[in-house]
Amino acid sequence: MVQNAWLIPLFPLVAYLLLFVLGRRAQEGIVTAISVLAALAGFIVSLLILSDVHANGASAPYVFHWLTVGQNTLSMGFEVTPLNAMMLTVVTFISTLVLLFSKGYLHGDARYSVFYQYLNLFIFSMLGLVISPNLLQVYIFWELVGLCSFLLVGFWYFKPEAAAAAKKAFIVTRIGDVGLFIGIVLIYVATGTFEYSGVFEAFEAKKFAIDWITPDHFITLVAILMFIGAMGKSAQFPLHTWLPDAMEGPTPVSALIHAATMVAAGVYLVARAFPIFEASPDALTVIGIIGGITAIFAALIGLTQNDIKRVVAYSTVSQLGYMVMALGVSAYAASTFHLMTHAFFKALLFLAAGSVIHAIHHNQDIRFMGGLWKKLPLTGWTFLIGALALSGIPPFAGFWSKDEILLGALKSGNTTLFVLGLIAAFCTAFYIFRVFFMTFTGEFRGEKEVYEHAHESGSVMTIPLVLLSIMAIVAGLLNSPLTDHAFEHFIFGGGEEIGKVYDTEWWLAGLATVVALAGIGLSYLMYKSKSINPEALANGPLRPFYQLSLNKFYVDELYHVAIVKPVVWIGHILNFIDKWVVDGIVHLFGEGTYIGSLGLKYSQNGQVQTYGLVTLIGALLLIGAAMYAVGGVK
Amino acid sequence: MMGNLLTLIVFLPLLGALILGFVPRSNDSQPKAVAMIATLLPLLFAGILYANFDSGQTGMQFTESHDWIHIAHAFQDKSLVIGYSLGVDGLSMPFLLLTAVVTFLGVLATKHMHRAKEFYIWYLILVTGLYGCFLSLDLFLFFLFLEMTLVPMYFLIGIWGGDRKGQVATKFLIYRGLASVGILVAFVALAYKAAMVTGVMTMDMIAITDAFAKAPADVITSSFKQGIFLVLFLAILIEEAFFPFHTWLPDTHEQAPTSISMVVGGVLMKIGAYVLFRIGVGILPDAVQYFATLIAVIGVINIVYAALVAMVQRDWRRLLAFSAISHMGVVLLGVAAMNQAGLQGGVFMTISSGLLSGLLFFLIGAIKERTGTTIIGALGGLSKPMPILAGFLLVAALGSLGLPGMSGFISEILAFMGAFKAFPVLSAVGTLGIILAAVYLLWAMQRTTYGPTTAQLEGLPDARAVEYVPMVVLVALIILIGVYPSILGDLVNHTISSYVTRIGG
Repeated sequence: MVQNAWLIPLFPLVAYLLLFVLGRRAQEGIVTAISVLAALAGFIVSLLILSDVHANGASAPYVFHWLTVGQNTLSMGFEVTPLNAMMLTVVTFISTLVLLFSKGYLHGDARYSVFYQYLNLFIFSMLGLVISPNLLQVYIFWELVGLCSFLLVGFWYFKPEAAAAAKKAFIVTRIGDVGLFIGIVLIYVATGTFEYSGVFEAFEAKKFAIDWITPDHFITLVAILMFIGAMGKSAQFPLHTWLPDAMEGPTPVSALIHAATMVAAGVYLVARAFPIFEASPDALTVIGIIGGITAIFAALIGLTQNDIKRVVAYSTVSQLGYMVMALGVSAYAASTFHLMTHAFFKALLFLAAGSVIHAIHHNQDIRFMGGLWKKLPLTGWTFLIGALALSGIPPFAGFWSKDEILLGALKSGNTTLFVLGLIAAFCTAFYIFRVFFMTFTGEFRGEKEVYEHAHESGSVMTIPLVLLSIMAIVAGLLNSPLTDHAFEHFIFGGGEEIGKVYDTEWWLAGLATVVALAGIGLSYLMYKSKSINPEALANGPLRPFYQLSLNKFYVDELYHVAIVKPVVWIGHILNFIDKWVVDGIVHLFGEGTYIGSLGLKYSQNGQVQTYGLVTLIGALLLIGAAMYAVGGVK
Repeated sequence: MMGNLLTLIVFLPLLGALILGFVPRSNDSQPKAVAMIATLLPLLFAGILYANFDSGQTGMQFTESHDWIHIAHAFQDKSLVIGYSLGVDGLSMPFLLLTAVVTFLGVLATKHMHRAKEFYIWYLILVTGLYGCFLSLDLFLFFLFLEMTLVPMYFLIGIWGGDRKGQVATKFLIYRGLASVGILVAFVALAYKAAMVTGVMTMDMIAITDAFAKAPADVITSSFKQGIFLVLFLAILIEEAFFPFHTWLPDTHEQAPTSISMVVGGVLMKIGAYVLFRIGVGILPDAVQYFATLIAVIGVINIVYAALVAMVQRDWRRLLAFSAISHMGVVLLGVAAMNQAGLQGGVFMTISSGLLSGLLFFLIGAIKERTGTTIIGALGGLSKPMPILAGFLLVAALGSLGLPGMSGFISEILAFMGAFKAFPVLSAVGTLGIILAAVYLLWAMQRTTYGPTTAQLEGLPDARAVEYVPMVVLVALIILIGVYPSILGDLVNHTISSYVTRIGG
């Protein structure tokens, strides 16, 4: 079966080309049918491959020749490993549901078909990324998913905020991408290959064709450069700023690209290339710290945001931080497991939020929501399930995976990371239930008429919610003592353990649950029972902190002042120099010649022949001089 | 059958120009038809040559060689022989195809010129000059063809240019005239030294290349080679519009009509790069090696400087000119690496930049024709009235900023794969260009096509049927190279390999 894995990305590619040919006026029903069927076919093949890999383990890559560079050959192809079989399944599953959901969400949009084209192109690129057997191919698809993200965030191109967000997403991630670019080019220079297998061998032997750096430093350098790429894509501090802004895109895009799949690519890359990172303890330390900071930093911002999608977006940043932190402490299985469960419950939360937004005429501000449980009971239930999973309440999916990450941090001896993770868990539970209470309970605070008309959407939007809810409930069990940690055994491919694995500590699971419950409880007191007045807190002793969180710690402002403005100024200064100094000297020279040749003015009629003549005479003189100098003329 | 195809390719445009001389002045459509045929036939012949080209071979193919000029006693008692000799190898084949495609599309892109007849006459003379540069196997012949591009360009800018046409045409002439002088001096010096080795005075490129490869170190000293190379390199910097000799290029692009901009950015400007590969790397590899660090530094300066300046341009055409300079900086970096990946990346980047410049200048021309402006700030929301043109502009901008799947990316990464081996730190600085390209291209593209549509831009017509040809052809080639780079790589691989083995010594 694995030899057919190339079919999986092919389906959405064909769907994309079909839609492209059909043009932008194709009927919505046909557009959706083609897209959903393609993704579904991919999902079915993925399931078959998953069971094949489960039985037979990873396969050798299938490659074909792509480009010859002297003696070297660059190739393209595909591979199937337990890790990417899991990714293929998750991506195709969520894609299918999001494509279905979009039928309701984008209904009536003038560029409906274009939206589906972009989505199919994205799904193709994402699948191409995870199926890549070498770093060059990863990079190619890495950029392509970024492009699709750009196109989809800016889908409503006439909105200036959407255009700005799209550009920001592309440029900020590209800063990271250049790190990855340098990383893989250096790997090629040092090892002569991009193929994972060849690269890993060279890293194990520490034999590199590079002499300006010691092998150990080289490994650390390359690992950190690659990680910079992962930081951009997976929105790690300080390159996280693009992701919340990317919420300008249509909500199905946020669910698929900016929650479940593309933003996890950074985590996937570090996991896939783990031997490179494992070879450098220093790089791992950096990764752990960046992940930990991101987890807590984004969680703190999430506490005070009022846009429903932005809160969920910050929670995505924070959860990605958990995954990265897990890789930093070598908790490979925990990280990839959290990647999977997070994909389910975060896609669920976004789609549920989308369902809310769709029902109340594209309002996203939770201050003007409330009491929607009565109007949107199914959305309410599914959001609640997603919120419980995110908070880490047993037996929901997030409980099992987050617990393993905390366990990994604790056992690695890095208590700071563990404590950061625990505090972030408290914040997470608090802010997601803040959203839940403000949206679904109490009185509606927006326009009455909107509330009257709010109703649950059709089955194309509710079916995906229900299916994702089921996954958000049960997916965690895959790696619990109840199933004897089936996920771990699978992801290691029946072979050696990758990274570190620890036995479940029940006291820790209990502690994490208590922390999460405390967060929910505080949220309840503030936003449901109103026993604590949040405004009094915000304007009282906690005011400085509240302002910091509300303004996202002023990171965007800092970048604007410290980077954007200076770079633009340098541009202006150089442009001035270009115009008045570089070009000016030429003009001066020109003027000088002009004045000098005033006497010849009348013989110079401005005709091109004259200039040609001058050039020719000059040339002949120079030739003569050159001949004389060379010694040929006697 | 292939016997005289190269001559046909070179002189058919000139023949077209001659025929145009007999066409009555008043008629507007006839000159265009003649020009179209006179550029389409060479394109077809170039296609035939490509189909019959043996990429496994390193030498010249389809050669034509005749003695042309004899000058008795030019060198001691021997006569100087200037040959009329043409040929193609793996290096010149991509340039031949690029010229064929862009010059034909340039005619297609030209519409309603006043004094159409004269325009096409100059245009066709220019095209013959361009073909001649890439196909000449004789240095003198090359020089003649190079000069043949100068005069037509002067008139094409000077008559059909924008509001500063006179000044810019003169500037173009002075700059490139100076470059010609440098090239001529270097050529004569090369021929003289080669004659001292072989005893035969010739301008033949192959003979000179062999003579330099075989020459004992005391006959052709390395300082002599370095001296010639410096003169040649200075000329290349001007030809290729590198900082600090670049200012003619933004002016030219700003003032020239669309089709001329396409040909300048697509082909004319690439002659310098071709000379760098053919003469610099081909004949004087040790000198290139000797100055590698200098070349790399100049390359990186150009990458970063031009990108930063591009970022603050207000006019699309100036922005694209600086963007091209920045991209060509990558070529210098790749050449400075003097290894397979770097040189191959350099050729890739040159071709890719040619295709992308052709496409981008065409698109900006089409937008100017409709909106009357190329000032970025005056545009906005064009996606609504003209989704097709906006879509192609998006693709072109993405290609130019190095998106994988298009020609720019594979060029960039190949060049950097070579460059990082030789100059890790400089190359790292050079990657700044990758970020900055995204900044200025996305900004300009979005400013043009995204956002709300202003009232006066509402309802403008989208692409016409004939406009699809240049757009689709160029995008198809750009994507073809990006997805299947072997189509270009297999052509150049062996020729570059033969250069690299010579460097390794």
